[in-house]
Amino acid sequence: VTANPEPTYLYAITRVDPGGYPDAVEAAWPSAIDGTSPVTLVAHQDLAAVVSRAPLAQLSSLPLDDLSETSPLAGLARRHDAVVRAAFERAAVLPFRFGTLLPDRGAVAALLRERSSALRAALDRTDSHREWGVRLSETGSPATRQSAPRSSMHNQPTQSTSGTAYLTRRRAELVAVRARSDVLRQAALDVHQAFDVQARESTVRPEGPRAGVVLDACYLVSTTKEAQFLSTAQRLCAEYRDLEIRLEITGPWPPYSFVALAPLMGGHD
Amino acid sequence: MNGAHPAISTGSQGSLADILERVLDKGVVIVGDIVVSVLDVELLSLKLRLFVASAQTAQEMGLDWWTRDPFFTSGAPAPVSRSGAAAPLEPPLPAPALERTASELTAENADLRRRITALEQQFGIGLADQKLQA
Repeated sequence: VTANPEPTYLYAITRVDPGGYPDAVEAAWPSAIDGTSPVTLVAHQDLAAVVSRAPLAQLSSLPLDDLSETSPLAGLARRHDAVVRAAFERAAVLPFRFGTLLPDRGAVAALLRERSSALRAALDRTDSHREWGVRLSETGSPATRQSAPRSSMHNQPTQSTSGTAYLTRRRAELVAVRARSDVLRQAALDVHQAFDVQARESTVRPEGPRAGVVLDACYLVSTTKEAQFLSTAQRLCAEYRDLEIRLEITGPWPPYSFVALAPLMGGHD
Repeated sequence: MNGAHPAISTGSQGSLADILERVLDKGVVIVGDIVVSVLDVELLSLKLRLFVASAQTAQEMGLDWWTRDPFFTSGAPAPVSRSGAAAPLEPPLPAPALERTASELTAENADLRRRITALEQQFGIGLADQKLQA
């Protein structure tokens, strides 16, 4: 990469009306990722990349150990998300991964030109759809869930003097644990199926790492089916509350989790 | 529809972890010489997974190994194979003497029973067995 004075930060690819570009589309963007620069578009026919000046210093000096709410990363990520959302309110978007930079606007235009058919196909796939996050978890913190068995073990000598009684009680507890984990597993399957049939696509995160979470999934839902999707959510929410299982829904999100596009190759002359 | 459901946070900005999981882990990736690289997003993504998993960090470090043994804690999760890219960062779990497999314990139990029976017969005090047989 040759040295270039105008590295460009990319938020998303979206569609524009070639006739209306650029005035109408550039009207009211939130602030760029650096908090001050304007957000602009690089267009090629009906495709446009949402870009801004790259905050090179902020990104290269980003402390990677601080992921707290007040960290520099939090501010940058929220502003990145805000720009993607603003684009998504206008039209379908393909969000870029955080921190995507190209040397200049010319390289962005070249990317749109060279990959236009793949980009259009990907935009068509998610057009008029929004992403919803679903998380199913046990009610209460891990500490709360484990306090009962721990205290029962510690209290054991005062409750019972018989080793056999202790072992019998432990066996009963193990049976209860197995029954509970069966309930949770079944709940995860049922909830996923209930949402999956209403979604165009879905992704389920592998088990862990969140403590107590038995299902962590995302669904790509047509805007015409959202009311039904949310009413299902409301019903399941009440149903599982009685079983001490919490159903959380987040969204709507731009289709972050459904950008099924092979990595775009750049830099080929 | 917004705000109609207690556990449904629609239209909100989303929690930081929810946003980071999406912007760091997902999205279109450009590869090749043309990309300007000033930030290790892969490393950030790994750190995020560890951060989100912090509640379980103590367990993964083996500091409270017994909470993972169903016999000691009914709240212990069934052993699962850890997946995800965070795994290589985890230090190998220590293997405390008490953390043994069920088959090892069963074998040890059987061995101890044999030795007790042998001792009881040697000293002529196999009372428990006689009662059971009676």
